[in-house]
Amino acid sequence: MLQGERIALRPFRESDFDAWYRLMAEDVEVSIAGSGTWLPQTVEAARHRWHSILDASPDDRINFAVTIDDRCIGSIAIKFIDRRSQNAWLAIVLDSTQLGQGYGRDAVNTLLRWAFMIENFHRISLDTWSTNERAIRCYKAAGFVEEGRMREAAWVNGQRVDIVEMGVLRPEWLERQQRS
Amino acid sequence: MLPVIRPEVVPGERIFLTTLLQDDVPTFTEWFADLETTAYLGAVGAVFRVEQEQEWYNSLAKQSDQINFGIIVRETQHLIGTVGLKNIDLLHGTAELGINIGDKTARGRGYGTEAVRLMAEYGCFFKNLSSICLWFVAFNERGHRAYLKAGFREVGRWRGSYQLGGRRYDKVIMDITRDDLDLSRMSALIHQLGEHGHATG
Ligand SMILES: CC(C)(COP(=O)(O)OP(=O)(O)OC[C@H]1O[C@@H](n2cnc3c(N)ncnc32)[C@H](O)[C@@H]1OP(=O)(O)O)[C@@H](O)C(=O)NCCC(=O)NCCS
Ligand SMILES: CC(C)(COP(=O)(O)OP(=O)(O)OC[C@H]1O[C@@H](n2cnc3c(N)ncnc32)[C@H](O)[C@@H]1OP(=O)(O)O)[C@@H](O)C(=O)NCCC(=O)NCCS
Repeated sequence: MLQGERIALRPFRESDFDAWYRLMAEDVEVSIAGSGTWLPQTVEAARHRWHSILDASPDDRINFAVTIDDRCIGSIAIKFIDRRSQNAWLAIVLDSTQLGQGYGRDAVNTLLRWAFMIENFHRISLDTWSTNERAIRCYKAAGFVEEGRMREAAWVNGQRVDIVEMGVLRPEWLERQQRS
Repeated sequence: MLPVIRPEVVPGERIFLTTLLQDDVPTFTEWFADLETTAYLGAVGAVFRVEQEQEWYNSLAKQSDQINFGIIVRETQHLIGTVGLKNIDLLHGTAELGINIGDKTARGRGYGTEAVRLMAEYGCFFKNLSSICLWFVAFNERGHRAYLKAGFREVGRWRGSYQLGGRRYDKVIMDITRDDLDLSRMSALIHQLGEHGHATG
């Protein structure tokens, strides 16, 4: 288990499925923020997806449950793992009842500590919609910097928006840790 | 052996884009047994065997989120490379462009610029895309200049995301939007569309 300030990251368990389903399949806002769309999904289809995500090869993707007192409130993962170039992409979603309370930056920072210190990553990337201000602020608070914007690269909630590219490098992250 | 006459799917000036053939697979294998080429394409250190090229070729017919064409030089009728769109996302109206002039003797002659431009026009016209992105490694100046000439703009960089020999390089991100492109060459392919067509929106 990776202990953060208030949250902890641990592997998913079968019993987290209901929490995960609420996160990914029931919550429209979270679903749109994560994948840009929301589609009705049967429990069976969601369970199938849950297994395919959890069973992904750790060479490609590594998943963590974000927990408070062992209760799953979200999911954080690294994907598109490229060990040769020492980089990977981060994806996070929290339950819609838990947003904006600092759990996001806590989880991201805990994941970065693992990725940079225990694993040998040099860089973590992510992208999000330009309208997802909460996510952008959370990522900046955890040390990410904006590296670019793909113009009009997504259709979200009735408008065409940019995709914001962000990244954090190990030396930058270490420097922040020493300062704080 | 006389070169095969191939269908002219997307006509350009000095080149045209054509469908790929089973008989091209050995050519791909030759192109992809080259460490310089695979380094530019991001598959650093990799070389691909004929079985892998065959698998890629077979995937073309199955995957609807990508489209790939061969690039033929009009003058010689030779296949010099491939250009394509992948991760075609019709909800968001986006895709990622990739190109390889596999025949090294055909690089630096303006064909890449033209192929990139044609592919972008095809994507925005026939697939209704709004935005097409691509990336190149910061040291690929030839690619950079070709993309600029084709109308792409630099929109960011994934800092230090590419390593070679223990050194880190940026991947540079570029994109082009439908508004950046003149699609009249594509609409001219649909004869009954006419100059102004009967568009209702
Ligand atoms: C993105 C996400 C992981 C961030 O976690 P979080 O716990 O909500 O974020 P934090 O509380 O650490 O930080 C949120 C920041 O946004 C601000 N914020 C909160 N609600 C906001 C809102 N509605 N609009 C704009 N900013 C907001 C907070 O004040 C805070 O910034 P500050 O510290 O500079 O004041 C989480 O909100 C989430 O899962 N959202 C839904 C799914 C999603 O968007 N995933 C990311 C896809 S890339
Ligand atoms: C990148 C690529 C598609 C470009 O196509 P191309 O037909 O070679 O390029 P063009 O001739 O249209 O344009 C090349 C431009 O770079 C310049 N150039 C050519 N060789 C160069 C070199 N070695 N260094 C710097 N610039 C060079 C040319 O002068 C021209 O620019 P200019 O007209 O402004 O002077 C092609 O070279 C290629 O496939 N290379 C190998 C694989 C690859 O890099 N794929 C792209 C990965 S992102």
